[in-house]
Amino acid sequence: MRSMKPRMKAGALSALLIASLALASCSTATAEDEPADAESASAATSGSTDALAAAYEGTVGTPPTESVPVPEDLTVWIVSCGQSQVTCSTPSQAAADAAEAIGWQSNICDGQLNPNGWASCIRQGVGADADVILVMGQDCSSFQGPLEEARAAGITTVGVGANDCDIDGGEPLYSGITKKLDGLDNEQWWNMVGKLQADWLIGQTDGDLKLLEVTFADARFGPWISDGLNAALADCDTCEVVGTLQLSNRDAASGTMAQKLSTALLQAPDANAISVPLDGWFLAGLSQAIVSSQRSDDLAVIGTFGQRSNLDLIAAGEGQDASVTFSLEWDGWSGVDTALRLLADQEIAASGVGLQVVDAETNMPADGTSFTYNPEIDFKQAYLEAWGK
Amino acid sequence: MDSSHTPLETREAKVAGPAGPESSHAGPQRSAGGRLLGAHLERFALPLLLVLIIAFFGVFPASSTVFLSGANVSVVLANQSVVTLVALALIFPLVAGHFDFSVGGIAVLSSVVTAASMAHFSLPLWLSCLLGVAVAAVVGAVNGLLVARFGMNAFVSTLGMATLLGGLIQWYTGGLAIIGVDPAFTKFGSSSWLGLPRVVFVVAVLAFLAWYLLTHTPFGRALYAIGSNNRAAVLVGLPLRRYTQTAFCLSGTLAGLAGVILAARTGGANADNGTYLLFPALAAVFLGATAILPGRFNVVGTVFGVLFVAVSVSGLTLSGAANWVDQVFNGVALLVAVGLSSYLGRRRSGQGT
Repeated sequence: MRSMKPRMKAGALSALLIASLALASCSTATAEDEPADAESASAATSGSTDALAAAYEGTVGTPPTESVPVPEDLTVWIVSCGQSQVTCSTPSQAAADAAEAIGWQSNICDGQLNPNGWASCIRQGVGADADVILVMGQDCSSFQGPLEEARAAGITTVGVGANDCDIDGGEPLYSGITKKLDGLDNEQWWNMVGKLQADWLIGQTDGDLKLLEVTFADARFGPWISDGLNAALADCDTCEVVGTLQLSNRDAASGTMAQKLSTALLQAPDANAISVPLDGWFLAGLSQAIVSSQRSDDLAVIGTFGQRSNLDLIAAGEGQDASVTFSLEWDGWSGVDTALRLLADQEIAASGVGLQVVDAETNMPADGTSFTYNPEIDFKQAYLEAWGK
Repeated sequence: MDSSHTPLETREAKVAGPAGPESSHAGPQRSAGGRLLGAHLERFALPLLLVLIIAFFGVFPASSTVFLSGANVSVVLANQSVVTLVALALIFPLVAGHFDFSVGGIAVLSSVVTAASMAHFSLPLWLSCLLGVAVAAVVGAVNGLLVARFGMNAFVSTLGMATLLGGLIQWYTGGLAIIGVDPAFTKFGSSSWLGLPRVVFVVAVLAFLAWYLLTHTPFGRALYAIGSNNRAAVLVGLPLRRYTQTAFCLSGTLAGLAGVILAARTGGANADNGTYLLFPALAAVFLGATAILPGRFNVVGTVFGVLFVAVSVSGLTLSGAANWVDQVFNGVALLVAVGLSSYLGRRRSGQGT
C-alpha cells in the first residue's frame, strides 16, 4: 500500500521560524510535575505577550509595483472550485472584477466542488477558445488531462492559490501559479498559518497550552498547517498536544463532524485550546459541538481563512474565538496579474497576500464587511497602477 | 426479495416489449389521429425540447458564437461520457425494480484501482484497465448477491455499499489525487477521432450494446417483466434470482468501465465517494423514462436525458448565467417532463385530465 509522504522541509521550517518573531520559550525546562517558579512564570507571560503580538501583526506583503503590459480584449475563463462555497466564489468574483477593470471578457464556471466539475469547466474554457483560464484553489493533480488539453490549445492557465503537479513528483502543467509572499513557497506560506495559530494559542493560554489539534489530509495545505503549528509548539516547553483528531470533507458531508469533535473533547478533559485547519468546518458542526460541550469559555479556539460568516461567529463567541485570516479577494486579483505577467513573459510577481490573526478584540473588520489588513492595503488601486489603468 | 412494487410509481404494470406504449382504451370522442399525435408527442417531447434548446442557444447572441462550434460540441459530448455510462449502469437494476446507489462509488473505485495499478504498482495499461473493471464487476456481483440471494432491500444495501466504498477510497488515497498514469492513457482520454472525442465512441458502442440487450433479447424483456411484477414473472417461469444477479453484475461492470474512462479523462484518479456522478445519472435516467418508451427506463431516453442537461448547462454557462440558474432550469425541466408525460399518458389511456 502507498505510504503517505508529507514533504518535510526541516531546513525551510527552521529558517521560517527563525525569520519570524522569535517565540520566547515559555519557561526554562523544568521537571514536568514541578510548578514553575515566579521568574519563569513571568518569562512565560512576557513570551506569551510577544507571541500574541506576533499573531496580530502577522506577515503581510505589498502588491507588485512593476508595470506589465495589458493585451486588449482577451477572454478569461474563471473556474470556481464551487460557487456554493464563499471561499471559492469570493476569489472568482474578484478575478472577474479585475478582468472587467482591464476590459477583458470574463466567464465564471462553477466547478461544483468535485473533480469532474473542475475538469469539465477547464474543458469548456478550451471549447470556448478562452485566452486565459484561471483555476481557483485546486491542485493540478486533480485534472491533468484537461490542463494538457489547454496547454495544447495554447491557453495560458493559472492556478490561483493552487499547487502544480511537480508537488506530487509530476510535470508542472499550469502555465504558472500565483505566488503570495516573497521568499515563501506555498508550503512555507501554509506553515506560516500554523505558526500564527500557535502564536495566538500560546498567547491566549499564557504559555500553558493543552491543545486538541484537528487535522486535515484531503488537501496539501492541511498537513502543511500542522507542520507549521507543531514546529512552533516544539519551541514551547510548557505546551503540549493532548489530542489529535483527523477530519475530512466527508465528515462535513455526512454530518459526523460535531459528533467526532464532541467525542475528542470528552477524551481530552484537560484541553484548553483547539486548532482547526479550515473555517468552513465550524459551520459544518464544530462550533455547535464546542458550544454544547459547555466548555466554550474555557477553550481558545482558532481556525483559518476568516470568511465573513466565521468573523460573525468569532464576534458572537459562538464556538470560534479567532482565525488566521487573509484576503481571498486579493488572491483573485493576483490571478489576473499572474496571467498578465505570463503573457508578457515576465517573472511571476509575489502578490503580497499575507496573514493576520483576527479575534473579537483585534483586527476585526466592521460588521458585514470582509477582512482588510491592519493597516489597510488598497491592493486594487496598486494593481490598476501596475497595469497602467 | 422485497415486495413486488417497482420504484417508479408511474410505471404501468404490464410486461414490456420493445414496442412503444399501447394505446388501449381511448375515449370514444377522440380520433385515432389525435391519439397517435398524443402518443408521438409523449415519446418525443424530450428530444423535441432538446432541439429547441440547441436552436435557442445557437441563435442567442451571448452564446451563439461558441455554442455550436465543433470544439464546444466535443466538450459537451466528451464531458458527459462518464455520467452517461453511470446512467446506463443504473438502468439494469432499475429495470429489474431495484435502485443501485453504489454506481457512483463503484465508478470512482474503478478509477482509483486503474490509476493506482499504473502509478503505484507500475502495471501495464491494459492490465490496469482490466483490474479496474474486474474490481467493479466483483462489487456489482456482491450487490447482486445481497439483493437476489439474501433478499436484502436494494435501496438500503446499495446505500451501505456506496458508503463502504467511499470509506475504502478515502483510506487508500488519504484524500489526495493519484497521479503518474501512463501518458498514452491520458492521451486517449483527451484525443479525438473523426472530429469527436474518442471516449464518445466507446460510450456509443456500450450504449448500443445496452440498448440491444434490453430491447432485443429475451433477457432484456424478462428483466422488464421482473421489474413490472416479479411474482407474475416467477409464475411464468422466469429465473428471477439469476436475472437480478446478472443485472447487478452488468451494472457494476458498466460503472467500472465508466471509472476507466473517468481515469483517462482526468489523467489520474481523485478521492471522492462518487455522489457527484450518482445524482446527475439518476436525473438522466428518470428524465429518460419520460421519453421514447414513456413510463419505462430505457437507454435511448436516458442518452437524451444526459444530453438535455449537458446542453442546457453549456448554453447557460456560455450565456454568463448565474450558477444557480442551471439548477433551477434543470429542476423545472425534470418536473415539466415528468408532468407532461403523466398528463399525456392519462389522456392516452382515456382517464381524462
